[in-house]
Amino acid sequence: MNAHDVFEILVREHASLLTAFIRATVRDAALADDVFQETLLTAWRRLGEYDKSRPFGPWLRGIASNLILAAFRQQRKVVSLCDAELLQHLDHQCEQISRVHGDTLEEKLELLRHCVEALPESYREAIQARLKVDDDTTDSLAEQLGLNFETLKKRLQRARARLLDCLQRKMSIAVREVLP
Amino acid sequence: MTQPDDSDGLLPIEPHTAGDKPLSRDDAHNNASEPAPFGSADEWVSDQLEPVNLAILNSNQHDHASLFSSQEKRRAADLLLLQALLEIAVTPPSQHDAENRERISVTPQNSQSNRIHRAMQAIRASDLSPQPSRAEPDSWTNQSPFRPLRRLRAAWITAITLVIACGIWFEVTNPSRQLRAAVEFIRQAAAQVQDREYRVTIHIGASEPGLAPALQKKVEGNLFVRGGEAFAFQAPALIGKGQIWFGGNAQRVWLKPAIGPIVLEGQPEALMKRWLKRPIDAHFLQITTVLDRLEAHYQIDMLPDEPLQSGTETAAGYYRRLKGICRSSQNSLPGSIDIWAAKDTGIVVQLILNWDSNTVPGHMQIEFKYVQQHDRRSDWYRPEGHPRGKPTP
Repeated sequence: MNAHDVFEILVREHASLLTAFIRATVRDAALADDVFQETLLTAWRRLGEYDKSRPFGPWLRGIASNLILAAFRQQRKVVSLCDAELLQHLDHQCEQISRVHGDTLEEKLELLRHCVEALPESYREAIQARLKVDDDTTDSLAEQLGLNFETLKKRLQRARARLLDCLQRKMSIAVREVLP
Repeated sequence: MTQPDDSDGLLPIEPHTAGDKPLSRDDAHNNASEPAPFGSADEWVSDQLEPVNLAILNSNQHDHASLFSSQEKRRAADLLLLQALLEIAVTPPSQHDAENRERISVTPQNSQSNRIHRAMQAIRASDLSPQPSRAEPDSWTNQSPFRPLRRLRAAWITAITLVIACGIWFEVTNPSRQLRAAVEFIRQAAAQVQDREYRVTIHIGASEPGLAPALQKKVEGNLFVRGGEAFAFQAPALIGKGQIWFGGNAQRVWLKPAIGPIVLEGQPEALMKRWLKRPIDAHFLQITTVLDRLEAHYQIDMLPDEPLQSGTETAAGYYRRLKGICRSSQNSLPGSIDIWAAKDTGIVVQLILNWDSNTVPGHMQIEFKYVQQHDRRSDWYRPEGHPRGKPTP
Protein backbone atom coordinates (compact mmCIF):
# COMPACT_ATOMS: atom_id res chain seq x y z
CA MET A 1 0.00 0.00 0.00
CA ASN A 2 1.55 3.27 -1.11
CA ALA A 3 1.09 6.81 0.21
CA HIS A 4 -1.76 7.49 -2.22
CA ASP A 5 -3.69 4.48 -0.92
CA VAL A 6 -3.15 5.45 2.71
CA PHE A 7 -4.21 9.02 2.00
CA GLU A 8 -7.32 7.85 0.17
CA ILE A 9 -8.34 5.61 3.04
CA LEU A 10 -8.04 8.49 5.49
CA VAL A 11 -9.94 10.80 3.17
CA ARG A 12 -12.75 8.32 2.62
CA GLU A 13 -13.15 7.93 6.34
CA HIS A 14 -13.60 11.65 6.91
CA ALA A 15 -15.26 12.64 3.64
CA SER A 16 -18.87 12.55 4.81
CA LEU A 17 -18.32 14.91 7.70
CA LEU A 18 -16.16 17.12 5.53
CA THR A 19 -18.99 17.23 3.00
CA ALA A 20 -21.48 18.22 5.72
CA PHE A 21 -19.11 20.91 6.96
CA ILE A 22 -18.69 22.38 3.49
CA ARG A 23 -22.37 22.12 2.60
CA ALA A 24 -23.27 23.92 5.81
CA THR A 25 -21.17 26.85 4.74
CA VAL A 26 -21.39 26.93 0.95
CA ARG A 27 -24.83 27.23 -0.58
CA ASP A 28 -23.84 26.63 -4.16
CA ALA A 29 -23.44 22.92 -4.89
CA ALA A 30 -20.86 23.43 -7.63
CA LEU A 31 -18.72 25.65 -5.44
CA ALA A 32 -19.07 23.19 -2.56
CA ASP A 33 -17.81 20.51 -4.90
CA ASP A 34 -14.87 22.69 -5.89
CA VAL A 35 -14.01 23.40 -2.26
CA PHE A 36 -14.14 19.69 -1.48
CA GLN A 37 -11.81 18.84 -4.35
CA GLU A 38 -9.44 21.66 -3.57
CA THR A 39 -9.36 20.62 0.09
CA LEU A 40 -8.15 17.16 -0.88
CA LEU A 41 -5.55 18.49 -3.29
CA THR A 42 -4.26 20.97 -0.72
CA ALA A 43 -4.23 18.30 1.96
CA TRP A 44 -2.15 16.05 -0.24
CA ARG A 45 0.28 18.81 -1.11
CA ARG A 46 0.67 19.79 2.53
CA LEU A 47 0.67 16.32 4.00
CA GLY A 48 4.16 16.95 5.32
CA GLU A 49 2.75 19.62 7.61
CA TYR A 50 0.12 17.34 9.11
CA ASP A 51 0.72 16.70 12.78
CA LYS A 52 0.25 12.95 12.96
CA SER A 53 -0.46 13.04 16.65
CA ARG A 54 -3.71 14.90 15.98
CA PRO A 55 -6.86 13.67 14.30
CA PHE A 56 -7.06 13.93 10.55
CA GLY A 57 -10.66 15.20 10.28
CA PRO A 58 -10.14 18.60 11.95
CA TRP A 59 -7.02 19.14 9.87
CA LEU A 60 -9.00 18.58 6.68
CA ARG A 61 -11.77 20.89 7.88
CA GLY A 62 -9.19 23.52 8.77
CA ILE A 63 -7.96 23.49 5.19
CA ALA A 64 -11.56 23.65 3.99
CA SER A 65 -12.20 26.63 6.31
CA ASN A 66 -9.37 28.59 4.77
CA LEU A 67 -10.64 27.78 1.28
CA ILE A 68 -14.18 28.80 2.25
CA LEU A 69 -12.95 32.13 3.58
CA ALA A 70 -11.02 32.63 0.35
CA ALA A 71 -14.07 31.68 -1.70
CA PHE A 72 -16.19 34.15 0.24
CA ARG A 73 -13.86 36.96 -0.69
CA GLN A 74 -14.52 36.14 -4.36
CA GLN A 75 -18.15 34.98 -4.41
CA ARG A 76 -20.03 36.37 -1.47
CA LYS A 77 -23.49 35.34 -2.59
CA VAL A 78 -22.85 31.63 -2.67
CA VAL A 79 -21.13 31.23 0.67
CA SER A 80 -23.54 31.04 3.58
CA LEU A 81 -21.16 31.37 6.41
CA CYS A 82 -17.72 32.82 6.38
CA ASP A 83 -17.06 34.09 9.85
CA ALA A 84 -13.86 32.49 11.16
CA GLU A 85 -15.29 32.09 14.63
CA LEU A 86 -18.40 30.40 13.30
CA LEU A 87 -16.32 28.10 11.12
CA GLN A 88 -14.37 27.16 14.20
CA HIS A 89 -17.63 26.54 16.03
CA LEU A 90 -18.85 24.31 13.20
CA ASP A 91 -15.59 22.42 13.17
CA HIS A 92 -16.02 21.80 16.86
CA GLN A 93 -19.56 20.52 16.33
CA CYS A 94 -18.30 18.18 13.63
CA GLU A 95 -15.67 16.89 16.00
CA GLN A 96 -18.35 16.13 18.57
CA ILE A 97 -20.36 14.25 15.98
CA SER A 98 -17.30 12.23 15.07
CA ARG A 99 -17.09 11.09 18.71
CA VAL A 100 -20.53 9.52 18.60
CA HIS A 101 -20.45 5.76 18.48
CA GLY A 102 -20.41 4.30 14.97
CA ASP A 103 -17.92 3.46 12.25
CA THR A 104 -19.35 5.76 9.62
CA LEU A 105 -21.17 9.07 9.63
CA GLU A 106 -24.18 7.15 8.36
CA GLU A 107 -24.22 5.16 11.58
CA LYS A 108 -23.58 8.18 13.76
CA LEU A 109 -26.48 10.00 12.12
CA GLU A 110 -28.87 7.33 13.30
CA LEU A 111 -29.52 9.77 16.14
CA LEU A 112 -30.76 12.37 13.68
CA ARG A 113 -32.95 9.88 11.88
CA HIS A 114 -34.57 9.00 15.20
CA CYS A 115 -35.21 12.69 15.75
CA VAL A 116 -36.87 12.98 12.34
CA GLU A 117 -39.03 9.96 13.08
CA ALA A 118 -40.07 11.50 16.37
CA LEU A 119 -41.35 14.69 14.72
CA PRO A 120 -45.09 15.27 14.44
CA GLU A 121 -46.25 13.98 11.10
CA SER A 122 -46.90 17.38 9.55
CA TYR A 123 -43.42 18.58 10.47
CA ARG A 124 -41.78 15.40 9.28
CA GLU A 125 -43.65 15.61 5.99
CA ALA A 126 -42.49 19.19 5.49
CA ILE A 127 -38.86 18.39 6.26
CA GLN A 128 -38.78 15.35 4.04
CA ALA A 129 -40.52 17.12 1.18
CA ARG A 130 -38.15 20.07 1.47
CA LEU A 131 -35.14 17.80 1.30
CA LYS A 132 -36.32 16.40 -2.01
CA VAL A 133 -36.41 19.84 -3.60
CA ASP A 134 -33.09 21.04 -4.94
CA ASP A 135 -33.69 24.73 -5.45
CA ASP A 136 -34.03 27.37 -2.80
CA THR A 137 -37.63 28.26 -3.44
CA THR A 138 -40.47 26.63 -1.60
CA ASP A 139 -43.32 28.06 -3.66
CA SER A 140 -43.96 24.89 -5.62
CA LEU A 141 -43.38 22.81 -2.53
CA ALA A 142 -46.07 24.70 -0.62
CA GLU A 143 -48.43 24.09 -3.50
CA GLN A 144 -47.54 20.43 -3.53
CA LEU A 145 -48.25 20.08 0.17
CA GLY A 146 -51.45 22.11 -0.07
CA LEU A 147 -50.14 24.82 2.24
CA ASN A 148 -49.58 28.49 1.79
CA PHE A 149 -45.99 29.63 1.69
CA GLU A 150 -45.89 31.26 5.10
CA THR A 151 -47.41 28.21 6.79
CA LEU A 152 -44.82 25.95 5.20
CA LYS A 153 -42.00 28.30 6.11
CA LYS A 154 -43.13 28.40 9.72
CA ARG A 155 -43.58 24.67 9.82
CA LEU A 156 -40.06 24.13 8.51
CA GLN A 157 -38.63 26.56 11.04
CA ARG A 158 -40.35 24.83 13.92
CA ALA A 159 -39.42 21.39 12.66
CA ARG A 160 -35.76 22.39 12.39
CA ALA A 161 -35.79 23.93 15.83
CA ARG A 162 -37.19 20.69 17.25
CA LEU A 163 -34.69 18.63 15.35
CA LEU A 164 -31.81 20.74 16.58
CA ASP A 165 -32.96 20.45 20.18
CA CYS A 166 -33.47 16.72 19.80
CA LEU A 167 -30.06 16.24 18.22
CA GLN A 168 -28.41 18.30 20.94
CA ARG A 169 -29.96 16.13 23.63
CA LYS A 170 -29.15 12.85 21.97
CA MET A 171 -25.63 13.86 21.10
CA SER A 172 -24.98 15.06 24.59
CA ILE A 173 -25.90 11.64 25.91
CA ALA A 174 -24.07 9.77 23.16
CA VAL A 175 -20.83 11.70 23.57
CA ARG A 176 -20.93 11.27 27.35
CA GLU A 177 -21.35 7.52 26.87
CA VAL A 178 -18.35 7.33 24.57
CA LEU A 179 -16.00 9.50 26.58
CA PRO A 180 -14.13 7.71 29.36
CA MET B 1 -24.08 19.08 25.05
CA THR B 2 -24.90 22.46 26.40
CA GLN B 3 -23.11 24.43 28.99
CA PRO B 4 -24.64 26.82 31.50
CA ASP B 5 -23.38 30.00 29.87
CA ASP B 6 -24.20 29.03 26.32
CA SER B 7 -27.60 27.47 26.17
CA ASP B 8 -27.99 27.88 22.43
CA GLY B 9 -24.80 26.20 21.33
CA LEU B 10 -24.79 22.56 20.46
CA LEU B 11 -21.65 22.06 22.44
CA PRO B 12 -19.37 24.13 24.60
CA ILE B 13 -16.85 26.14 22.68
CA GLU B 14 -13.25 25.86 23.63
CA PRO B 15 -10.04 27.09 22.06
CA HIS B 16 -9.26 24.82 19.21
CA THR B 17 -6.73 24.86 16.44
CA ALA B 18 -8.12 23.53 13.23
CA GLY B 19 -6.27 22.83 10.10
CA ASP B 20 -3.02 24.16 8.92
CA LYS B 21 -3.26 27.35 10.91
CA PRO B 22 -5.30 28.49 13.87
CA LEU B 23 -8.52 30.26 13.08
CA SER B 24 -8.80 33.72 14.53
CA ARG B 25 -11.27 34.33 17.28
CA ASP B 26 -13.18 37.55 17.71
CA ASP B 27 -15.19 37.86 20.85
CA ALA B 28 -16.14 41.46 20.24
CA HIS B 29 -19.78 40.56 19.63
CA ASN B 30 -20.20 37.96 22.27
CA ASN B 31 -23.06 39.62 24.05
CA ALA B 32 -26.04 37.38 24.64
CA SER B 33 -28.33 40.23 25.63
CA GLU B 34 -28.18 41.98 22.29
CA PRO B 35 -31.39 42.13 20.29
CA ALA B 36 -31.88 40.42 16.96
CA PRO B 37 -33.85 42.95 14.93
CA PHE B 38 -33.92 40.89 11.77
CA GLY B 39 -35.63 37.93 13.41
CA SER B 40 -34.39 34.78 15.06
CA ALA B 41 -31.52 32.68 13.82
CA ASP B 42 -34.02 30.11 12.68
CA GLU B 43 -35.47 32.60 10.26
CA TRP B 44 -32.11 33.47 8.78
CA VAL B 45 -31.56 29.99 7.53
CA SER B 46 -35.10 29.23 6.52
CA ASP B 47 -35.97 28.77 2.90
CA GLN B 48 -35.67 31.74 0.58
CA LEU B 49 -32.90 33.26 2.61
CA GLU B 50 -32.43 36.91 2.21
CA PRO B 51 -28.82 37.61 1.21
CA VAL B 52 -28.74 40.68 3.42
CA ASN B 53 -29.23 38.50 6.47
CA LEU B 54 -26.45 36.22 5.39
CA ALA B 55 -24.23 39.22 4.89
CA ILE B 56 -24.99 40.33 8.41
CA LEU B 57 -24.37 36.88 9.70
CA ASN B 58 -21.01 36.76 8.03
CA SER B 59 -19.59 40.21 8.30
CA ASN B 60 -18.05 41.40 11.52
CA GLN B 61 -17.23 44.66 9.82
CA HIS B 62 -20.78 45.29 8.79
CA ASP B 63 -22.59 48.03 10.58
CA HIS B 64 -25.36 45.69 11.60
CA ALA B 65 -23.16 42.86 12.70
CA SER B 66 -22.94 44.01 16.26
CA LEU B 67 -26.73 43.76 16.53
CA PHE B 68 -26.49 40.00 16.54
CA SER B 69 -25.16 38.05 19.44
CA SER B 70 -22.61 35.29 19.14
CA GLN B 71 -25.24 32.93 20.47
CA GLU B 72 -27.63 33.84 17.67
CA LYS B 73 -24.88 33.43 15.12
CA ARG B 74 -23.88 30.07 16.50
CA ARG B 75 -27.45 28.87 16.46
CA ALA B 76 -27.69 29.92 12.82
CA ALA B 77 -24.51 27.97 12.11
CA ASP B 78 -25.92 24.95 13.95
CA LEU B 79 -29.05 25.10 11.83
CA LEU B 80 -26.98 25.25 8.66
CA LEU B 81 -25.04 22.21 9.80
CA LEU B 82 -28.27 20.47 10.72
CA GLN B 83 -29.54 21.07 7.21
CA ALA B 84 -26.35 19.59 5.74
CA LEU B 85 -26.58 16.56 8.03
CA LEU B 86 -30.22 16.05 7.10
CA GLU B 87 -29.20 15.98 3.47
CA ILE B 88 -26.80 13.17 4.29
CA ALA B 89 -28.96 11.28 6.75
CA VAL B 90 -32.39 11.60 5.24
CA THR B 91 -32.38 12.95 1.72
CA PRO B 92 -31.03 10.55 -0.86
CA PRO B 93 -33.87 8.17 -1.51
CA SER B 94 -31.81 5.07 -1.98
CA GLN B 95 -28.22 6.13 -1.61
CA HIS B 96 -28.50 6.18 2.15
CA ASP B 97 -31.17 3.59 2.50
CA ALA B 98 -29.44 0.25 2.66
CA GLU B 99 -32.62 -1.71 2.53
CA ASN B 100 -33.94 0.16 -0.45
CA ARG B 101 -30.58 0.06 -2.15
CA GLU B 102 -30.41 -3.62 -1.60
CA ARG B 103 -33.88 -4.13 -2.99
CA ILE B 104 -33.56 -1.95 -6.04
CA SER B 105 -31.07 -2.91 -8.66
CA VAL B 106 -29.83 0.53 -9.41
CA THR B 107 -27.31 2.20 -7.22
CA PRO B 108 -27.50 5.97 -7.66
CA GLN B 109 -24.30 7.71 -8.55
CA ASN B 110 -22.38 8.04 -5.39
CA SER B 111 -21.37 11.63 -5.84
CA GLN B 112 -19.12 11.78 -2.81
CA SER B 113 -17.20 8.72 -3.84
CA ASN B 114 -16.92 10.12 -7.31
CA ARG B 115 -15.57 13.39 -5.98
CA ILE B 116 -12.92 11.52 -4.01
CA HIS B 117 -12.18 9.38 -7.01
CA ARG B 118 -11.75 12.44 -9.22
CA ALA B 119 -9.53 14.16 -6.69
CA MET B 120 -7.37 11.06 -6.28
CA GLN B 121 -7.11 10.73 -10.04
CA ALA B 122 -5.99 14.35 -10.24
CA ILE B 123 -3.45 13.76 -7.48
CA ARG B 124 -2.10 10.64 -9.11
CA ALA B 125 -2.12 12.14 -12.60
CA SER B 126 -0.38 15.35 -11.59
CA ASP B 127 2.32 13.42 -9.81
CA LEU B 128 2.10 15.88 -6.94
CA SER B 129 4.24 15.01 -3.99
CA PRO B 130 3.55 16.04 -0.43
CA GLN B 131 5.90 18.81 0.62
CA PRO B 132 8.22 17.78 3.38
CA SER B 133 7.45 18.97 6.86
CA ARG B 134 8.83 22.38 7.72
CA ALA B 135 9.84 20.96 11.06
CA GLU B 136 12.34 18.67 9.47
CA PRO B 137 15.85 20.03 9.22
CA ASP B 138 17.21 20.42 5.71
CA SER B 139 20.41 18.66 6.43
CA TRP B 140 22.17 17.00 9.34
CA THR B 141 25.43 16.66 7.54
CA ASN B 142 26.86 20.15 7.99
CA GLN B 143 30.10 20.29 9.83
CA SER B 144 29.57 21.76 13.26
CA PRO B 145 31.07 21.58 16.72
CA PHE B 146 27.66 20.33 17.92
CA ARG B 147 27.51 17.55 15.37
CA PRO B 148 27.44 14.65 17.89
CA LEU B 149 24.64 16.38 19.79
CA ARG B 150 22.75 16.91 16.56
CA ARG B 151 23.19 13.27 15.68
CA LEU B 152 21.77 12.28 19.04
CA ARG B 153 18.84 14.62 18.53
CA ALA B 154 18.35 13.27 15.02
CA ALA B 155 18.28 9.75 16.38
CA TRP B 156 15.65 10.73 18.93
CA ILE B 157 13.55 12.51 16.33
CA THR B 158 13.84 9.56 14.00
CA ALA B 159 12.80 7.17 16.76
CA ILE B 160 9.83 9.32 17.73
CA THR B 161 8.81 9.77 14.10
CA LEU B 162 9.01 6.02 13.60
CA VAL B 163 6.81 5.38 16.62
CA ILE B 164 4.23 7.89 15.39
CA ALA B 165 4.45 6.57 11.85
CA CYS B 166 3.96 3.03 13.10
CA GLY B 167 0.92 4.17 15.06
CA ILE B 168 -0.56 5.83 12.00
CA TRP B 169 0.40 2.86 9.90
CA PHE B 170 -1.29 0.36 12.18
CA GLU B 171 -4.32 2.61 12.30
CA VAL B 172 -4.67 2.99 8.53
CA THR B 173 -3.78 -0.61 7.83
CA ASN B 174 -6.53 -1.77 10.14
CA PRO B 175 -8.04 -4.66 8.16
CA SER B 176 -11.66 -3.65 8.58
CA ARG B 177 -10.92 -0.11 7.49
CA GLN B 178 -8.99 -1.34 4.48
CA LEU B 179 -11.81 -3.67 3.62
CA ARG B 180 -14.43 -0.92 3.80
CA ALA B 181 -12.29 1.35 1.68
CA ALA B 182 -11.70 -1.40 -0.89
CA VAL B 183 -15.40 -2.27 -1.17
CA GLU B 184 -16.34 1.39 -1.44
CA PHE B 185 -13.69 1.99 -4.08
CA ILE B 186 -14.93 -0.94 -6.16
CA ARG B 187 -18.55 0.08 -5.73
CA GLN B 188 -18.04 3.63 -6.81
CA ALA B 189 -16.11 2.40 -9.87
CA ALA B 190 -19.01 0.10 -10.73
CA ALA B 191 -21.49 2.94 -10.29
CA GLN B 192 -19.75 5.22 -12.79
CA VAL B 193 -22.04 5.95 -15.71
CA GLN B 194 -19.91 4.10 -18.23
CA ASP B 195 -20.94 1.39 -20.65
CA ARG B 196 -18.99 -1.74 -19.84
CA GLU B 197 -19.23 -5.17 -21.37
CA TYR B 198 -18.73 -8.50 -19.64
CA ARG B 199 -18.67 -12.04 -20.96
CA VAL B 200 -20.99 -14.05 -18.76
CA THR B 201 -21.06 -17.80 -18.38
CA ILE B 202 -23.87 -19.46 -16.46
CA HIS B 203 -23.31 -23.04 -15.31
CA ILE B 204 -26.27 -24.96 -13.99
CA GLY B 205 -25.76 -28.28 -12.26
CA ALA B 206 -22.27 -28.65 -13.69
CA SER B 207 -20.57 -29.55 -10.44
CA GLU B 208 -23.35 -31.63 -8.97
CA PRO B 209 -22.18 -35.23 -8.86
CA GLY B 210 -24.70 -37.64 -10.20
CA LEU B 211 -26.81 -35.02 -11.89
CA ALA B 212 -28.14 -36.20 -15.21
CA PRO B 213 -26.44 -34.48 -18.16
CA ALA B 214 -29.83 -33.40 -19.41
CA LEU B 215 -30.16 -31.27 -16.31
CA GLN B 216 -26.80 -29.63 -16.78
CA LYS B 217 -26.62 -26.44 -18.75
CA LYS B 218 -24.02 -23.93 -19.76
CA VAL B 219 -25.20 -20.65 -21.14
CA GLU B 220 -22.90 -17.96 -22.42
CA GLY B 221 -23.81 -14.41 -23.22
CA ASN B 222 -22.73 -10.82 -23.20
CA LEU B 223 -23.68 -8.45 -20.45
CA PHE B 224 -23.75 -4.69 -20.89
CA VAL B 225 -23.97 -2.44 -17.85
CA ARG B 226 -24.26 1.31 -17.63
CA GLY B 227 -23.04 1.99 -14.12
CA GLY B 228 -25.86 1.36 -11.71
CA GLU B 229 -28.49 2.69 -14.10
CA ALA B 230 -29.30 -0.21 -16.38
CA PHE B 231 -28.16 -3.49 -17.77
CA ALA B 232 -28.84 -5.60 -20.86
CA PHE B 233 -27.94 -9.23 -21.42
CA GLN B 234 -27.69 -11.02 -24.75
CA ALA B 235 -27.65 -14.81 -25.01
CA PRO B 236 -28.58 -17.49 -27.50
CA ALA B 237 -32.11 -18.82 -27.09
CA LEU B 238 -32.19 -22.05 -25.09
CA ILE B 239 -34.63 -23.60 -27.52
CA GLY B 240 -34.39 -23.07 -31.25
CA LYS B 241 -32.38 -20.41 -32.99
CA GLY B 242 -32.05 -16.74 -32.40
CA GLN B 243 -31.06 -14.49 -29.57
CA ILE B 244 -32.77 -13.43 -26.46
CA TRP B 245 -32.20 -10.09 -24.84
CA PHE B 246 -33.17 -9.10 -21.39
CA GLY B 247 -32.35 -6.18 -19.21
CA GLY B 248 -33.68 -3.81 -16.66
CA ASN B 249 -33.47 -0.74 -14.57
CA ALA B 250 -34.65 0.21 -11.11
CA GLN B 251 -38.32 -0.10 -11.93
CA ARG B 252 -38.65 -3.24 -13.98
CA VAL B 253 -36.96 -5.89 -16.03
CA TRP B 254 -37.79 -6.91 -19.56
CA LEU B 255 -37.27 -10.00 -21.67
CA LYS B 256 -37.26 -10.08 -25.45
CA PRO B 257 -37.39 -13.74 -26.51
CA ALA B 258 -36.31 -14.96 -29.92
CA ILE B 259 -39.96 -15.50 -30.76
CA GLY B 260 -43.00 -13.97 -29.19
CA PRO B 261 -43.93 -10.80 -27.43
CA ILE B 262 -41.72 -8.75 -25.17
CA VAL B 263 -42.27 -9.49 -21.52
CA LEU B 264 -42.14 -6.70 -18.96
CA GLU B 265 -41.90 -7.75 -15.36
CA GLY B 266 -41.97 -5.89 -12.09
CA GLN B 267 -40.71 -9.01 -10.33
CA PRO B 268 -37.11 -9.71 -11.34
CA GLU B 269 -37.26 -13.29 -10.07
CA ALA B 270 -40.09 -14.07 -12.49
CA LEU B 271 -37.93 -13.29 -15.47
CA MET B 272 -35.12 -15.69 -14.59
CA LYS B 273 -37.65 -18.30 -13.64
CA ARG B 274 -39.16 -17.97 -17.06
CA TRP B 275 -35.78 -18.20 -18.79
CA LEU B 276 -33.64 -20.54 -16.68
CA LYS B 277 -36.35 -22.13 -14.54
CA ARG B 278 -34.49 -20.83 -11.51
CA PRO B 279 -35.93 -18.27 -9.05
CA ILE B 280 -32.89 -16.03 -9.26
CA ASP B 281 -33.20 -12.26 -9.15
CA ALA B 282 -32.28 -10.97 -12.60
CA HIS B 283 -30.68 -7.99 -10.92
CA PHE B 284 -27.75 -10.20 -10.04
CA LEU B 285 -26.64 -9.31 -13.53
CA GLN B 286 -26.25 -5.73 -12.32
CA ILE B 287 -22.81 -5.51 -10.77
CA THR B 288 -23.72 -2.62 -8.49
CA THR B 289 -26.54 -4.74 -7.06
CA VAL B 290 -24.15 -7.59 -6.41
CA LEU B 291 -21.87 -5.21 -4.52
CA ASP B 292 -24.77 -3.75 -2.52
CA ARG B 293 -25.88 -7.19 -1.47
CA LEU B 294 -22.32 -8.20 -0.72
CA GLU B 295 -22.12 -5.39 1.80
CA ALA B 296 -25.54 -6.05 3.24
CA HIS B 297 -25.60 -9.82 3.61
CA TYR B 298 -22.09 -11.23 3.42
CA GLN B 299 -19.08 -11.81 5.58
CA ILE B 300 -16.40 -10.20 3.42
CA ASP B 301 -12.72 -11.07 3.48
CA MET B 302 -9.94 -9.37 1.59
CA LEU B 303 -7.62 -12.02 0.24
CA PRO B 304 -4.09 -11.40 -1.03
CA ASP B 305 -3.97 -9.79 -4.45
CA GLU B 306 -3.85 -12.38 -7.16
CA PRO B 307 -3.65 -12.65 -10.94
CA LEU B 308 -6.35 -14.05 -13.18
CA GLN B 309 -5.69 -17.42 -14.67
CA SER B 310 -6.86 -16.63 -18.16
CA GLY B 311 -6.45 -12.95 -18.55
CA THR B 312 -7.16 -10.77 -21.52
CA GLU B 313 -4.99 -7.76 -22.10
CA THR B 314 -7.03 -5.74 -19.62
CA ALA B 315 -6.99 -8.51 -17.08
CA ALA B 316 -3.25 -9.00 -16.76
CA GLY B 317 -1.40 -8.45 -13.51
CA TYR B 318 -2.49 -8.70 -9.91
CA TYR B 319 -5.96 -7.78 -8.75
CA ARG B 320 -7.69 -6.78 -5.55
CA ARG B 321 -9.40 -9.91 -4.30
CA LEU B 322 -12.55 -10.02 -2.17
CA LYS B 323 -14.58 -13.00 -1.08
CA GLY B 324 -18.01 -12.87 0.50
CA ILE B 325 -19.71 -15.74 2.31
CA CYS B 326 -23.45 -15.34 2.73
CA ARG B 327 -24.60 -14.91 6.32
CA SER B 328 -28.23 -14.32 5.46
CA SER B 329 -30.99 -16.88 5.44
CA GLN B 330 -32.50 -15.47 2.26
CA ASN B 331 -32.76 -18.39 -0.10
CA SER B 332 -32.27 -16.51 -3.32
CA LEU B 333 -28.81 -15.17 -2.44
CA PRO B 334 -25.64 -16.82 -3.75
CA GLY B 335 -23.72 -18.73 -1.10
CA SER B 336 -20.50 -17.03 -2.09
CA ILE B 337 -19.36 -14.06 -4.13
CA ASP B 338 -15.81 -13.81 -5.45
CA ILE B 339 -14.47 -10.56 -6.86
CA TRP B 340 -11.32 -9.60 -8.69
CA ALA B 341 -10.98 -5.85 -9.23
CA ALA B 342 -8.35 -3.64 -10.82
CA LYS B 343 -6.26 -2.04 -8.10
CA ASP B 344 -5.90 1.32 -9.81
CA THR B 345 -9.42 1.85 -11.16
CA GLY B 346 -11.56 -0.40 -8.97
CA ILE B 347 -13.24 -1.90 -12.05
CA VAL B 348 -14.46 -5.44 -11.45
CA VAL B 349 -12.64 -7.64 -13.95
CA GLN B 350 -13.96 -10.96 -12.76
CA LEU B 351 -16.92 -11.89 -10.60
CA ILE B 352 -18.16 -15.34 -9.67
CA LEU B 353 -21.49 -15.99 -7.96
CA ASN B 354 -22.18 -19.45 -6.58
CA TRP B 355 -25.53 -20.84 -5.52
CA ASP B 356 -25.46 -24.22 -3.86
CA SER B 357 -28.07 -26.87 -4.47
CA ASN B 358 -29.91 -25.95 -1.29
CA THR B 359 -30.76 -22.60 -2.84
CA VAL B 360 -31.64 -23.48 -6.40
CA PRO B 361 -32.23 -26.87 -8.00
CA GLY B 362 -28.73 -28.02 -8.85
CA HIS B 363 -25.60 -26.01 -8.26
CA MET B 364 -25.50 -22.79 -10.22
CA GLN B 365 -22.63 -20.46 -10.99
CA ILE B 366 -22.53 -17.17 -12.86
CA GLU B 367 -19.12 -15.97 -13.96
CA PHE B 368 -18.49 -12.47 -15.30
CA LYS B 369 -15.34 -11.52 -17.17
CA TYR B 370 -14.63 -7.96 -18.12
CA VAL B 371 -14.30 -7.41 -21.86
CA GLN B 372 -14.22 -3.71 -22.59
CA GLN B 373 -15.57 -0.25 -21.96
CA HIS B 374 -17.40 1.08 -24.99
CA ASP B 375 -20.13 3.72 -25.38
CA ARG B 376 -23.54 2.34 -26.33
CA ARG B 377 -26.62 3.96 -27.80
CA SER B 378 -29.20 5.28 -25.39
CA ASP B 379 -31.74 2.62 -26.45
CA TRP B 380 -29.25 -0.19 -25.93
CA TYR B 381 -30.75 -0.93 -22.54
CA ARG B 382 -34.32 -1.07 -23.83
CA PRO B 383 -36.00 -3.86 -25.83
CA GLU B 384 -36.58 -1.64 -28.86
CA GLY B 385 -32.83 -1.21 -29.20
CA HIS B 386 -32.46 -4.79 -30.37
CA PRO B 387 -34.72 -5.57 -33.35
CA ARG B 388 -35.11 -9.24 -34.14
CA GLY B 389 -33.36 -10.65 -37.17
CA LYS B 390 -30.90 -7.80 -37.36
CA PRO B 391 -27.40 -7.84 -36.00
CA THR B 392 -27.06 -5.31 -33.24
CA PRO B 393 -24.17 -2.99 -34.02
